[in-house]
Amino acid sequence: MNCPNFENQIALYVGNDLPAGEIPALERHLSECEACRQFAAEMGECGQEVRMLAAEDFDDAVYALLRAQVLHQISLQEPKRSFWQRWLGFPVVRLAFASLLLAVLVWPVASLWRSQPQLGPGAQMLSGQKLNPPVPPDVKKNEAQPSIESAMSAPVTKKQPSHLRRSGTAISAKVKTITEPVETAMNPVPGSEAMKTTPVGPPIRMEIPTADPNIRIIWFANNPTESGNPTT
Amino acid sequence: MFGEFSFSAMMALLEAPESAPAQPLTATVIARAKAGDRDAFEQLFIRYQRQVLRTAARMLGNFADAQDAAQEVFLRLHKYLHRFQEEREFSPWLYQVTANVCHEIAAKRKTAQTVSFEQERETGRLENLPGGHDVEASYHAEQERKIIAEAIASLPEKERMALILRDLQGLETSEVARILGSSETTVRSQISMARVKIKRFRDRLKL
Repeated sequence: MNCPNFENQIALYVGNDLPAGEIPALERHLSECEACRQFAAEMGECGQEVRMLAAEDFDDAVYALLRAQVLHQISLQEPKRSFWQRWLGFPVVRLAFASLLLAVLVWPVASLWRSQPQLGPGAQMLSGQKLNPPVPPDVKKNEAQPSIESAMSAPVTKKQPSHLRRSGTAISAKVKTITEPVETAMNPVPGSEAMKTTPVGPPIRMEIPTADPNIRIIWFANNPTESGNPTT
Repeated sequence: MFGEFSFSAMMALLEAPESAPAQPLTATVIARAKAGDRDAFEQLFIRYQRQVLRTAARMLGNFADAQDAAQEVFLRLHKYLHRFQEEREFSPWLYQVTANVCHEIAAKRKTAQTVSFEQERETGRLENLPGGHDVEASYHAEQERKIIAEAIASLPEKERMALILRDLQGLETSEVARILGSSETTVRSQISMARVKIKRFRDRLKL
Protein backbone atom coordinates (compact mmCIF):
# COMPACT_ATOMS: atom_id res chain seq x y z
CA MET A 1 0.00 0.00 0.00
CA ASN A 2 1.39 3.34 -1.00
CA CYS A 3 -0.88 5.49 1.10
CA PRO A 4 0.13 4.88 4.73
CA ASN A 5 -1.67 8.04 5.81
CA PHE A 6 -4.95 6.37 5.00
CA GLU A 7 -4.26 3.13 6.91
CA ASN A 8 -5.74 4.23 10.22
CA GLN A 9 -8.66 5.93 8.51
CA ILE A 10 -9.44 2.76 6.58
CA ALA A 11 -9.15 0.72 9.78
CA LEU A 12 -11.77 2.94 11.36
CA TYR A 13 -13.88 3.08 8.22
CA VAL A 14 -14.32 -0.71 8.00
CA GLY A 15 -15.47 -0.76 11.60
CA ASN A 16 -17.87 2.17 11.20
CA ASP A 17 -15.78 4.23 13.59
CA LEU A 18 -14.64 6.97 11.22
CA PRO A 19 -16.14 10.38 12.03
CA ALA A 20 -18.78 11.36 9.50
CA GLY A 21 -16.85 14.43 8.38
CA GLU A 22 -13.89 12.33 7.20
CA ILE A 23 -15.85 9.70 5.29
CA PRO A 24 -16.39 11.61 1.98
CA ALA A 25 -12.68 12.36 1.57
CA LEU A 26 -11.72 8.75 2.28
CA GLU A 27 -14.33 7.34 -0.07
CA ARG A 28 -13.10 9.70 -2.79
CA HIS A 29 -9.57 8.41 -2.24
CA LEU A 30 -10.71 4.77 -2.26
CA SER A 31 -12.43 5.30 -5.58
CA GLU A 32 -9.14 6.49 -7.02
CA CYS A 33 -6.61 4.20 -5.25
CA GLU A 34 -6.61 0.48 -6.06
CA ALA A 35 -4.09 -0.39 -3.34
CA CYS A 36 -6.19 1.27 -0.68
CA ARG A 37 -9.29 -0.51 -1.92
CA GLN A 38 -7.39 -3.80 -1.59
CA PHE A 39 -6.22 -2.82 1.86
CA ALA A 40 -9.76 -1.93 2.90
CA ALA A 41 -11.08 -5.27 1.64
CA GLU A 42 -8.46 -7.24 3.58
CA MET A 43 -9.08 -5.11 6.64
CA GLY A 44 -12.78 -5.93 6.38
CA GLU A 45 -12.02 -9.68 6.25
CA CYS A 46 -9.73 -9.34 9.22
CA GLY A 47 -12.41 -7.49 11.15
CA GLN A 48 -14.89 -10.28 10.44
CA GLU A 49 -12.44 -12.86 11.77
CA VAL A 50 -11.93 -10.78 14.89
CA ARG A 51 -15.65 -10.56 15.47
CA MET A 52 -15.96 -14.32 15.03
CA LEU A 53 -13.91 -14.73 18.17
CA ALA A 54 -16.76 -13.13 20.06
CA ALA A 55 -18.78 -16.28 19.45
CA GLU A 56 -16.30 -18.38 21.37
CA ASP A 57 -17.47 -19.32 24.76
CA PHE A 58 -16.52 -21.51 27.65
CA ASP A 59 -18.32 -24.63 28.66
CA ASP A 60 -21.15 -24.31 31.19
CA ALA A 61 -19.13 -26.34 33.68
CA VAL A 62 -16.53 -23.57 33.72
CA TYR A 63 -19.15 -21.03 34.72
CA ALA A 64 -20.66 -23.36 37.30
CA LEU A 65 -17.25 -23.85 38.87
CA LEU A 66 -16.58 -20.12 38.86
CA ARG A 67 -19.93 -19.40 40.47
CA ALA A 68 -19.41 -22.04 43.14
CA GLN A 69 -15.96 -20.70 43.98
CA VAL A 70 -17.08 -17.10 44.23
CA LEU A 71 -20.18 -17.83 46.26
CA HIS A 72 -18.18 -20.03 48.59
CA GLN A 73 -15.66 -17.26 49.16
CA ILE A 74 -18.44 -14.78 49.80
CA SER A 75 -20.03 -17.09 52.35
CA LEU A 76 -16.66 -17.37 54.11
CA GLN A 77 -16.26 -13.61 54.21
CA GLU A 78 -19.67 -12.94 55.68
CA PRO A 79 -19.67 -12.79 59.48
CA LYS A 80 -21.58 -15.63 61.07
CA ARG A 81 -24.66 -14.46 62.93
CA SER A 82 -25.28 -15.54 66.47
CA PHE A 83 -28.36 -17.41 67.66
CA TRP A 84 -30.05 -14.20 68.79
CA GLN A 85 -29.19 -12.33 65.61
CA ARG A 86 -30.73 -15.12 63.56
CA TRP A 87 -33.91 -15.24 65.65
CA LEU A 88 -34.31 -11.49 65.86
CA GLY A 89 -34.15 -11.41 62.09
CA PHE A 90 -37.76 -12.65 61.98
CA PRO A 91 -40.26 -9.77 62.17
CA VAL A 92 -42.71 -11.73 64.31
CA VAL A 93 -40.08 -12.50 66.90
CA ARG A 94 -38.94 -8.90 66.84
CA LEU A 95 -42.50 -7.67 67.40
CA ALA A 96 -43.10 -10.09 70.26
CA PHE A 97 -39.85 -9.12 71.89
CA ALA A 98 -40.70 -5.42 71.62
CA SER A 99 -44.16 -5.98 73.13
CA LEU A 100 -42.71 -7.92 76.05
CA LEU A 101 -40.14 -5.23 76.67
CA LEU A 102 -42.80 -2.53 76.60
CA ALA A 103 -44.99 -4.47 79.06
CA VAL A 104 -42.10 -4.95 81.47
CA LEU A 105 -41.34 -1.24 81.38
CA VAL A 106 -44.91 0.02 81.66
CA TRP A 107 -46.29 -2.38 84.30
CA PRO A 108 -44.40 -1.04 87.36
CA VAL A 109 -45.30 2.53 86.46
CA ALA A 110 -48.95 1.66 86.00
CA SER A 111 -49.17 -0.26 89.27
CA LEU A 112 -47.48 2.59 91.12
CA TRP A 113 -49.92 5.08 89.68
CA ARG A 114 -52.88 2.94 90.71
CA SER A 115 -51.72 2.48 94.30
CA GLN A 116 -51.10 6.20 94.88
CA PRO A 117 -53.78 7.50 97.34
CA GLN A 118 -55.91 10.51 96.56
CA LEU A 119 -54.55 13.38 98.56
CA GLY A 120 -57.00 15.25 100.75
CA PRO A 121 -56.75 18.96 101.32
CA GLY A 122 -54.74 18.42 104.52
CA ALA A 123 -52.23 16.25 102.83
CA GLN A 124 -52.19 18.68 99.96
CA MET A 125 -51.41 21.43 102.38
CA LEU A 126 -48.68 19.41 104.03
CA SER A 127 -47.17 18.50 100.75
CA GLY A 128 -47.17 22.12 99.71
CA GLN A 129 -49.89 21.80 97.13
CA LYS A 130 -52.29 24.66 96.58
CA LEU A 131 -55.75 24.17 97.84
CA ASN A 132 -58.42 24.49 95.30
CA PRO A 133 -61.57 24.71 97.34
CA PRO A 134 -64.96 24.75 95.69
CA VAL A 135 -66.56 28.11 95.95
CA PRO A 136 -70.27 28.08 96.75
CA PRO A 137 -72.10 29.35 93.71
CA ASP A 138 -74.59 31.44 95.49
CA VAL A 139 -73.85 32.35 99.01
CA LYS A 140 -76.75 33.83 100.90
CA LYS A 141 -76.84 35.11 104.34
CA ASN A 142 -78.46 32.59 106.68
CA GLU A 143 -79.24 33.82 110.14
CA ALA A 144 -80.08 30.33 111.40
CA GLN A 145 -76.63 29.00 110.87
CA PRO A 146 -74.17 29.41 113.71
CA SER A 147 -71.66 32.12 113.44
CA ILE A 148 -68.04 31.47 112.78
CA GLU A 149 -67.08 32.56 116.26
CA SER A 150 -69.42 30.10 117.94
CA ALA A 151 -68.30 27.37 115.69
CA MET A 152 -64.69 28.09 116.52
CA SER A 153 -65.35 27.71 120.19
CA ALA A 154 -67.43 24.58 119.87
CA PRO A 155 -65.72 21.40 120.92
CA VAL A 156 -65.27 18.79 118.26
CA THR A 157 -65.40 15.19 119.29
CA LYS A 158 -63.44 12.89 117.15
CA LYS A 159 -63.77 9.15 117.24
CA GLN A 160 -60.99 6.75 116.78
CA PRO A 161 -60.71 5.68 113.19
CA SER A 162 -62.24 2.34 112.44
CA HIS A 163 -59.00 0.66 111.54
CA LEU A 164 -57.54 1.67 114.87
CA ARG A 165 -60.47 0.28 116.74
CA ARG A 166 -59.91 -3.17 115.40
CA SER A 167 -58.37 -5.60 117.80
CA GLY A 168 -54.94 -6.84 116.99
CA THR A 169 -53.95 -3.65 115.29
CA ALA A 170 -50.34 -2.81 115.68
CA ILE A 171 -51.28 0.61 116.92
CA SER A 172 -53.15 -0.13 120.04
CA ALA A 173 -52.80 3.32 121.36
CA LYS A 174 -54.98 4.85 123.93
CA VAL A 175 -56.92 7.24 121.89
CA LYS A 176 -57.58 10.52 123.49
CA THR A 177 -60.68 12.35 122.57
CA ILE A 178 -59.59 15.66 121.41
CA THR A 179 -61.68 18.37 122.78
CA GLU A 180 -59.69 21.23 121.65
CA PRO A 181 -61.19 24.06 119.67
CA VAL A 182 -60.83 23.47 116.05
CA GLU A 183 -59.20 26.01 113.97
CA THR A 184 -61.83 26.03 111.40
CA ALA A 185 -65.49 26.67 111.43
CA MET A 186 -67.74 23.72 111.02
CA ASN A 187 -70.53 25.78 109.62
CA PRO A 188 -69.34 29.18 108.65
CA VAL A 189 -71.91 31.80 108.05
CA PRO A 190 -72.26 32.33 104.37
CA GLY A 191 -71.44 35.83 103.42
CA SER A 192 -69.50 36.48 106.59
CA GLU A 193 -65.99 37.89 106.50
CA ALA A 194 -64.48 34.51 107.24
CA MET A 195 -66.42 32.90 104.51
CA LYS A 196 -65.33 35.52 102.07
CA THR A 197 -61.67 35.26 102.87
CA THR A 198 -61.56 31.55 103.62
CA PRO A 199 -64.52 29.80 102.15
CA VAL A 200 -63.11 26.47 103.20
CA GLY A 201 -61.02 26.38 106.29
CA PRO A 202 -57.89 24.38 106.96
CA PRO A 203 -58.31 20.71 107.80
CA ILE A 204 -59.17 19.38 111.19
CA ARG A 205 -56.15 18.10 113.05
CA MET A 206 -56.24 15.23 115.49
CA GLU A 207 -53.37 14.03 117.54
CA ILE A 208 -53.34 10.46 118.81
CA PRO A 209 -50.73 9.43 121.36
CA THR A 210 -49.50 5.86 121.21
CA ALA A 211 -47.98 3.55 123.78
CA ASP A 212 -44.65 4.80 122.76
CA PRO A 213 -44.33 8.37 124.02
CA ASN A 214 -42.07 9.17 121.12
CA ILE A 215 -44.69 8.22 118.57
CA ARG A 216 -47.77 10.27 117.98
CA ILE A 217 -50.26 9.80 115.25
CA ILE A 218 -51.40 13.02 113.71
CA TRP A 219 -54.60 12.72 111.81
CA PHE A 220 -55.99 15.29 109.43
CA ALA A 221 -59.58 15.38 108.37
CA ASN A 222 -61.08 17.07 105.40
CA ASN A 223 -63.09 20.22 105.66
CA PRO A 224 -66.62 19.83 106.84
CA THR A 225 -69.14 19.05 104.19
CA GLU A 226 -72.44 20.71 103.85
CA SER A 227 -73.93 18.34 106.38
CA GLY A 228 -71.26 19.32 108.82
CA ASN A 229 -69.60 15.91 109.13
CA PRO A 230 -65.91 15.89 108.56
CA THR A 231 -64.58 13.31 106.20
CA THR A 232 -61.22 11.79 106.54
CA MET B 1 -27.80 -21.43 49.88
CA PHE B 2 -24.44 -20.42 48.48
CA GLY B 3 -22.68 -22.87 46.29
CA GLU B 4 -26.01 -24.14 45.03
CA PHE B 5 -28.54 -22.71 42.67
CA SER B 6 -31.50 -21.11 44.31
CA PHE B 7 -34.87 -21.47 42.68
CA SER B 8 -35.24 -17.82 41.72
CA ALA B 9 -31.75 -17.75 40.30
CA MET B 10 -32.55 -20.83 38.27
CA MET B 11 -35.71 -19.21 36.98
CA ALA B 12 -33.75 -16.15 35.96
CA LEU B 13 -31.34 -18.48 34.21
CA LEU B 14 -34.15 -20.08 32.28
CA GLU B 15 -35.79 -16.79 31.41
CA ALA B 16 -32.61 -15.20 30.14
CA PRO B 17 -30.44 -17.68 28.28
CA GLU B 18 -26.77 -17.12 28.94
CA SER B 19 -25.92 -17.13 25.30
CA ALA B 20 -28.18 -14.12 24.74
CA PRO B 21 -26.70 -10.68 25.18
CA ALA B 22 -27.14 -9.35 28.65
CA GLN B 23 -30.43 -7.52 28.92
CA PRO B 24 -30.60 -4.47 31.12
CA LEU B 25 -31.48 -5.58 34.61
CA THR B 26 -34.42 -4.15 36.38
CA ALA B 27 -33.58 -1.68 39.07
CA THR B 28 -35.35 -3.95 41.50
CA VAL B 29 -32.84 -6.78 41.13
CA ILE B 30 -29.92 -4.43 41.58
CA ALA B 31 -31.59 -2.75 44.54
CA ARG B 32 -32.28 -6.13 46.13
CA ALA B 33 -28.71 -7.25 45.55
CA LYS B 34 -27.47 -4.01 47.07
CA ALA B 35 -29.63 -4.69 50.11
CA GLY B 36 -27.90 -8.04 50.57
CA ASP B 37 -30.37 -10.35 48.84
CA ARG B 38 -28.37 -13.41 47.85
CA ASP B 39 -30.83 -14.58 45.24
CA ALA B 40 -30.66 -11.21 43.52
CA PHE B 41 -26.88 -11.34 43.61
CA GLU B 42 -26.96 -14.79 42.02
CA GLN B 43 -29.21 -13.41 39.30
CA LEU B 44 -26.67 -10.68 38.65
CA PHE B 45 -23.90 -13.27 38.62
CA ILE B 46 -25.63 -15.55 36.15
CA ARG B 47 -26.56 -12.65 33.90
CA TYR B 48 -23.03 -11.27 33.68
CA GLN B 49 -20.72 -14.24 34.22
CA ARG B 50 -20.11 -14.75 30.52
CA GLN B 51 -19.44 -11.09 29.88
CA VAL B 52 -16.88 -10.99 32.67
CA LEU B 53 -15.05 -14.26 32.03
CA ARG B 54 -14.85 -13.88 28.27
CA THR B 55 -13.65 -10.30 28.48
CA ALA B 56 -11.07 -11.22 31.08
CA ALA B 57 -9.90 -14.19 29.04
CA ARG B 58 -9.39 -12.03 25.96
CA MET B 59 -7.75 -9.24 27.87
CA LEU B 60 -5.36 -11.52 29.73
CA GLY B 61 -4.93 -14.18 27.06
CA ASN B 62 -4.74 -16.87 29.69
CA PHE B 63 -7.47 -19.02 31.15
CA ALA B 64 -6.08 -19.33 34.68
CA ASP B 65 -5.58 -15.57 34.97
CA ALA B 66 -9.01 -14.97 33.47
CA GLN B 67 -10.57 -17.23 36.10
CA ASP B 68 -8.76 -15.37 38.86
CA ALA B 69 -9.83 -12.07 37.35
CA ALA B 70 -13.46 -13.13 37.07
CA GLN B 71 -13.48 -14.31 40.67
CA GLU B 72 -12.01 -11.03 41.80
CA VAL B 73 -14.52 -9.05 39.74
CA PHE B 74 -17.48 -10.79 41.33
CA LEU B 75 -16.01 -10.56 44.81
CA ARG B 76 -15.57 -6.82 44.29
CA LEU B 77 -19.05 -6.64 42.89
CA HIS B 78 -20.39 -8.20 46.07
CA LYS B 79 -18.30 -5.92 48.25
CA TYR B 80 -18.79 -2.62 46.45
CA LEU B 81 -22.22 -3.01 44.91
CA HIS B 82 -23.58 -0.51 47.42
CA ARG B 83 -21.46 2.16 45.73
CA PHE B 84 -23.11 1.60 42.38
CA GLN B 85 -25.34 4.50 41.48
CA GLU B 86 -28.53 3.14 40.04
CA GLU B 87 -28.94 5.95 37.54
CA ARG B 88 -25.89 4.55 35.75
CA GLU B 89 -25.97 1.53 33.48
CA PHE B 90 -24.82 -1.62 35.19
CA SER B 91 -23.05 -3.35 32.32
CA PRO B 92 -20.51 -0.57 31.56
CA TRP B 93 -19.84 -0.26 35.27
CA LEU B 94 -19.06 -3.98 35.42
CA TYR B 95 -16.84 -3.69 32.34
CA GLN B 96 -14.97 -0.96 34.16
CA VAL B 97 -14.42 -3.19 37.17
CA THR B 98 -13.31 -6.01 34.85
CA ALA B 99 -10.89 -3.75 33.01
CA ASN B 100 -9.40 -2.53 36.29
CA VAL B 101 -8.95 -6.04 37.65
CA CYS B 102 -7.41 -7.26 34.40
CA HIS B 103 -5.06 -4.30 34.40
CA GLU B 104 -3.94 -5.12 37.94
CA ILE B 105 -3.41 -8.78 37.15
CA ALA B 106 -1.54 -7.96 33.94
CA ALA B 107 0.67 -5.52 35.85
CA LYS B 108 1.50 -8.25 38.37
CA ARG B 109 2.24 -10.71 35.64
CA LYS B 110 4.39 -8.11 33.82
CA THR B 111 4.58 -9.88 30.51
CA ALA B 112 1.44 -10.69 28.65
CA GLN B 113 1.19 -14.28 27.63
CA THR B 114 0.45 -14.85 24.01
CA VAL B 115 -1.45 -18.02 24.70
CA SER B 116 -5.06 -17.69 23.74
CA PHE B 117 -7.82 -20.18 24.19
CA GLU B 118 -5.97 -22.99 22.47
CA GLN B 119 -5.14 -24.83 25.65
CA GLU B 120 -8.69 -24.53 26.82
CA ARG B 121 -10.00 -25.87 23.53
CA GLU B 122 -7.63 -28.82 23.77
CA THR B 123 -8.70 -29.59 27.30
CA GLY B 124 -12.34 -29.36 26.28
CA ARG B 125 -13.19 -26.30 28.33
CA LEU B 126 -14.00 -24.27 25.26
CA GLU B 127 -17.16 -25.05 23.43
CA ASN B 128 -16.59 -25.92 19.80
CA LEU B 129 -17.62 -23.30 17.33
CA PRO B 130 -20.40 -24.17 14.97
CA GLY B 131 -18.59 -24.96 11.76
CA GLY B 132 -19.05 -26.78 8.50
CA HIS B 133 -18.49 -30.47 8.04
CA ASP B 134 -15.68 -29.90 5.60
CA VAL B 135 -12.54 -30.96 7.42
CA GLU B 136 -10.24 -28.84 5.29
CA ALA B 137 -12.40 -25.75 5.64
CA SER B 138 -12.65 -26.32 9.39
CA TYR B 139 -8.93 -26.66 9.66
CA HIS B 140 -8.44 -23.48 7.64
CA ALA B 141 -10.94 -21.58 9.81
CA GLU B 142 -9.31 -22.93 12.91
CA GLN B 143 -5.90 -21.67 11.74
CA GLU B 144 -7.34 -18.24 10.94
CA ARG B 145 -8.97 -18.02 14.34
CA LYS B 146 -5.77 -19.07 16.08
CA ILE B 147 -3.78 -16.40 14.25
CA ILE B 148 -6.26 -13.69 15.12
CA ALA B 149 -6.35 -14.78 18.77
CA GLU B 150 -2.58 -14.66 18.97
CA ALA B 151 -2.56 -11.29 17.23
CA ILE B 152 -4.94 -9.88 19.79
CA ALA B 153 -2.94 -11.31 22.65
CA SER B 154 0.20 -9.69 21.28
CA LEU B 155 -1.28 -6.18 21.32
CA PRO B 156 -0.30 -3.60 23.93
CA GLU B 157 -2.67 -3.66 26.87
CA LYS B 158 -4.58 -0.44 26.16
CA GLU B 159 -5.05 -1.21 22.48
CA ARG B 160 -6.12 -4.74 23.34
CA MET B 161 -8.69 -3.53 25.86
CA ALA B 162 -10.10 -0.95 23.47
CA LEU B 163 -10.32 -3.48 20.61
CA ILE B 164 -11.93 -6.18 22.77
CA LEU B 165 -14.57 -3.85 24.11
CA ARG B 166 -15.32 -2.41 20.68
CA ASP B 167 -15.02 -5.38 18.32
CA LEU B 168 -15.61 -8.41 20.55
CA GLN B 169 -18.08 -6.98 23.04
CA GLY B 170 -19.67 -4.64 20.53
CA LEU B 171 -19.70 -1.51 22.67
CA GLU B 172 -19.89 1.95 21.17
CA THR B 173 -16.71 4.01 21.01
CA SER B 174 -18.11 6.49 23.51
CA GLU B 175 -18.89 3.66 25.96
CA VAL B 176 -15.41 2.23 25.56
CA ALA B 177 -13.97 5.67 26.24
CA ARG B 178 -16.01 5.96 29.44
CA ILE B 179 -15.03 2.48 30.63
CA LEU B 180 -11.34 3.02 29.98
CA GLY B 181 -11.35 6.59 31.21
CA SER B 182 -10.06 7.98 27.94
CA SER B 183 -11.32 10.36 25.32
CA GLU B 184 -13.15 9.09 22.25
CA THR B 185 -10.30 10.32 20.05
CA THR B 186 -7.78 8.31 22.03
CA VAL B 187 -9.93 5.20 21.91
CA ARG B 188 -10.47 5.62 18.17
CA SER B 189 -6.74 5.90 17.69
CA GLN B 190 -6.11 2.80 19.80
CA ILE B 191 -8.71 0.82 17.91
CA SER B 192 -7.37 1.79 14.50
CA MET B 193 -3.79 0.96 15.46
CA ALA B 194 -4.91 -2.37 16.93
CA ARG B 195 -6.77 -3.30 13.74
CA VAL B 196 -3.81 -2.42 11.55
CA LYS B 197 -1.46 -4.43 13.77
CA ILE B 198 -3.73 -7.45 13.69
CA LYS B 199 -3.90 -7.30 9.92
CA ARG B 200 -0.14 -7.08 9.67
CA PHE B 201 0.27 -9.98 12.11
CA ARG B 202 -2.17 -12.03 10.07
CA ASP B 203 -0.50 -11.15 6.75
CA ARG B 204 2.89 -12.08 8.16
CA LEU B 205 1.79 -15.51 9.42
CA LYS B 206 -0.23 -16.34 6.34
CA LEU B 207 2.72 -15.86 4.04
